[in-house]
Amino acid sequence: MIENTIRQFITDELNNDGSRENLTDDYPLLERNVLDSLGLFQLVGFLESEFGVEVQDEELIPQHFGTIGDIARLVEVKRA
Amino acid sequence: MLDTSLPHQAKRIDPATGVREIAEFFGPEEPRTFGFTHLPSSRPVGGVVICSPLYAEFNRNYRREVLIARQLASLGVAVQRFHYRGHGNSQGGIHDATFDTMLDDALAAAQRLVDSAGVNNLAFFGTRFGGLVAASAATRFGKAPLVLWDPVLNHSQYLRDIYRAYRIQALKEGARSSESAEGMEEHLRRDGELDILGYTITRSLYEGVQDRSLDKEVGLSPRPLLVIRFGRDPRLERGISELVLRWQMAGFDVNHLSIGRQEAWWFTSGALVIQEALTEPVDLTVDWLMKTFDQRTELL
Repeated sequence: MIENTIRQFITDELNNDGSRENLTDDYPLLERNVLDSLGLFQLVGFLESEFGVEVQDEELIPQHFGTIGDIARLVEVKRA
Repeated sequence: MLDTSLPHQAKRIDPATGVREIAEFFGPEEPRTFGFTHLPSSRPVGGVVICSPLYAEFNRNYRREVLIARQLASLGVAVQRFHYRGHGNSQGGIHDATFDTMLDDALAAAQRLVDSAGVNNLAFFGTRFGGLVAASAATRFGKAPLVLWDPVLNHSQYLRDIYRAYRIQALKEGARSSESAEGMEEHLRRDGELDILGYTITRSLYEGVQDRSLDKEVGLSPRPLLVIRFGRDPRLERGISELVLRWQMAGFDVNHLSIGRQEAWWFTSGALVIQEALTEPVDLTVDWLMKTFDQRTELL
């Protein structure tokens, strides 16, 4: 499941202080500062390598990176 | 009244190590390059020229370059740091800075080190864009060892990293930036400069590097080579791994290391305050350079 893979990356690799359980699919990542600038940079690189997609710079907008659900939808669309 | 009789150099001697640090402007003519020479207390066993990165990356790496210079000098290696003309404390305008002027600065820095330290066996060290400069300069000095930190592979990858940093910063701040990477590139061509996170990217520099790549600058003349990657950026990993393989097949003695933590080159997050991120690449580089100088001394 894409959501779980993203969740695991955020909790394991981005030094996120919160627990994995709190990081629900609709938890606001940007508003709650789960992702800082470097975290976003690393996450985009991870999405590209893990899911074999290329994230265009124009796609770096809150609608695609606001929540884990948003990110997963972006990946699904790009893989379709 | 301004005292115009001030000396052209400022010097300091570290009481613990006896290392002399000299700050000065140098170069054949104005605009001159500003730099620091770190001279050991005894006759140097070699010399290292440090080619810095640019823009935010310059600031990000500054302390590590100072630490490398001081450690090497305390171990008997002379070191030259410098600011490219049009950048930092050096003279010159930013629009006059091109890859060629940056290379000239590196070569002037090397000459300054040869003159002040009396060394002929030099090594070159470059980070990010400075890696291109260091690689190109090293080819002018025989089999001079070369150290590269997170090197830029080509101009398009570098600009893409910068654009991405810009977009991500805008995303983090909730701003809607409608300009695409292509639009920003067009903006740069049209206006001659582009403001990215407060840094001025110039057309003169951009156009001067379009035909340059790390592959070309390093060339195929074998030399000791240390490549340190910060983190596991998959795009950089693929590109650099292919290059390392090619260099090894060409007879290079390549040491390729990853330190596991991605550097926030364009961001002011707290990552750099972690001591490990500050000292690990410095220690690895100093160890490798000392071993390399020792081996070369034994061969002479």
